Amino acid sequence: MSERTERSEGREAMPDRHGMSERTERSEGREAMPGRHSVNPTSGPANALADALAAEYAAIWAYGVIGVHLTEAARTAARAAEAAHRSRRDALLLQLAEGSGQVPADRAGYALPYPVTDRASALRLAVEIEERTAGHWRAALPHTTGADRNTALAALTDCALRATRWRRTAGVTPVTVPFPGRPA
Amino acid sequence: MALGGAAAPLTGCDLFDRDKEPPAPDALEPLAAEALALEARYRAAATAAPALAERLTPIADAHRAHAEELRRVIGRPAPSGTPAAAGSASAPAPDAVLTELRRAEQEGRTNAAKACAEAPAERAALLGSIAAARATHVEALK
Repeated sequence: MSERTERSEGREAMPDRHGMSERTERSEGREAMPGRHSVNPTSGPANALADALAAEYAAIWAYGVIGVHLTEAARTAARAAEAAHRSRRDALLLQLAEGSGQVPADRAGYALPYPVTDRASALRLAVEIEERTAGHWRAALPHTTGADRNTALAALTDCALRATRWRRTAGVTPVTVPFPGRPA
Repeated sequence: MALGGAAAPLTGCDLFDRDKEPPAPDALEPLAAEALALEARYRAAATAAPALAERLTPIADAHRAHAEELRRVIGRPAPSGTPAAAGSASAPAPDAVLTELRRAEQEGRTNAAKACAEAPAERAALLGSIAAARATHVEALK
């Protein structure tokens, strides 16, 4: 529990890898960011959307870390990206609340895949977060139909577009990948 | 064995098909053809405007990869008469090249999104990635 306190004051500070991984419900502490493969292909629509929600939580959290290492236009873009992920999260929360399945709770923090200490590592994480989140929305596509599928596709596309813009900001080429969201 | 009696006009692929008529074209054939046409368009543009080649070639490669994946999912060879390149022969200015590619890519994105919306579950993820990729191509051409 004390770790939550540490987290709450740490948002603007440069994150250290041990201070951002509190997870009180599970004994082992650090919660890894949702990976690209966590959707069970046989899981139902609610599970797929719950996974997308977990990915959105992680993305929102990550942008808090990313934003502090960026300036000017890139920082503005990070804020806009975070806001977009919050909108997806809120829509998912509403949608999942109507169902009977479990609605995953946000974590207090997530373990970063690597230290984010400067602009370059922040941009790298931004690309990775968008690709991962794209992957979770992509995985939701087979489990959805109609308007829900269109929403999942719009979310996948938005993530892919942001990943492309972050690559451009970072000077990474090519700025596109052939199959956004597809597990490598 | 008579080839094509008066009552049965000969068509391309039923000569040795003893079962029944050829199956209806797969719903993804237009998208596969479009991916190849887009690839050809980018290759032609990269040739016409070498300064843009570094940007255009990865996108051409992506369209090729999409076409190959779509072909794999369709599970049959391309029908004969698959359209060839639609590239323009002249060498337009780079700005005009980009404008034209953006237009074609935007149209392709719309088509892929529609295909994704209508697809059975097992095809939805691939089509979603293709639609998203085409959206990123539009972005990359800005």
